[in-house]
Amino acid sequence: MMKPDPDDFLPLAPATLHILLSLAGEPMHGYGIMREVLRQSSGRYNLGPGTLYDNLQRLMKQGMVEEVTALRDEENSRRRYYRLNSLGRGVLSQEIARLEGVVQEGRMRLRSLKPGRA
Amino acid sequence: MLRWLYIQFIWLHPAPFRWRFGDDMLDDFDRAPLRDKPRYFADAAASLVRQWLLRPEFRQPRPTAASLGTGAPLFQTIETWKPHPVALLQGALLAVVSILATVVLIPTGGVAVPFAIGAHFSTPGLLSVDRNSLAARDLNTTVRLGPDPFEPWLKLGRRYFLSMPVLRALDTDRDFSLSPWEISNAPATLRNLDTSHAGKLTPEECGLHFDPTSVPAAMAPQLRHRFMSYHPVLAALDADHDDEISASEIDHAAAALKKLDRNHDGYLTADELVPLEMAARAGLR
Repeated sequence: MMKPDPDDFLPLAPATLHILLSLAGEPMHGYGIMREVLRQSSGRYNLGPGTLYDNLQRLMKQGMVEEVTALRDEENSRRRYYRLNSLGRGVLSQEIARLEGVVQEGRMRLRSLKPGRA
Repeated sequence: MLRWLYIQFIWLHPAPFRWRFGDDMLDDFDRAPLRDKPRYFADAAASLVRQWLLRPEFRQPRPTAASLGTGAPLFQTIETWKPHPVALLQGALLAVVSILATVVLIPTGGVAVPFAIGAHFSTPGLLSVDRNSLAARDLNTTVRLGPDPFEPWLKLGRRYFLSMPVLRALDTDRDFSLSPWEISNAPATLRNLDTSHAGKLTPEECGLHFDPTSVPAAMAPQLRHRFMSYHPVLAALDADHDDEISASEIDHAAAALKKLDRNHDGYLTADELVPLEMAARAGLR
């Protein structure tokens, strides 16, 4: 089976990008991801469970996210933990690189739009 | 209540999604502060639409060993998490209450019938219940009623009303008692008995019958007086005891009749109208 190309998944939707970003560190459960997305977006992007798990379902189907069962502790024994796999990390890296390009391009355009000194 | 409603939202999702994420969604809902819960409902509703309309590829049934067709055994792991102890306790309590309620309700069939009173052989018009259940269950209670204590009065009153023209006229509905309406209508009824159009009622017009030729002339007034005083209804109407019911007495007939209502129920019945001697002869006094 051919390995999917990360570029095939770009550009990412905002919700997908935030979820992948949240999982870029340690594995997290759903509620942790929602909190992390809220923190990353400075409270502007408040993800609901329906949206989150719909995205996780799709990301797992596409092979970017996988469930981690080993991390279930006693307190959160019902919770499922998720983490990025190699494809997910690749997609996230490519998306960030794409966004960096967009940011650089945007800054250049904005600089050129500044009015010159008389 | 909110939690129950949210569970219903989760249950409306496609089964594969529900199996996979239902517990997590509910856990997230439980952890969320109250102010965020309305947003969770809106999110769940949007998720419902999304899952049913835009995610057909995720609604595939779980593969079974037979569907795999590889001949390889299929193993499934059992979930390691356990329900919360409080949930287990609530479940146990609910089970006990349900079983007790069932045990209590089964013998009664849901309908409390401590004893059955009715005809020995049921008929469709008498009991509109399951015939089969009645066939196996005989009536177990017998109620015997004694004689109606008022029945002798009714028999005596019937004879007395029919023999008295005044009472027969006043009792317009033929129930052998005078109702409040019949009492209030008494003046008009009594005027109809005035066949001589003298404006008053004589003992003869009230029902006295005797042959003047067989009775000495001196006895006639005594007979008339005896007749008018013997019958309580005539004695009440003849307020001045002149052995005639004058026009004025006819006008006040209703008030006079009401004085006979000893039990103050508004009705004049046989026990209030039949002469004392007649009742005594019948063994009722």
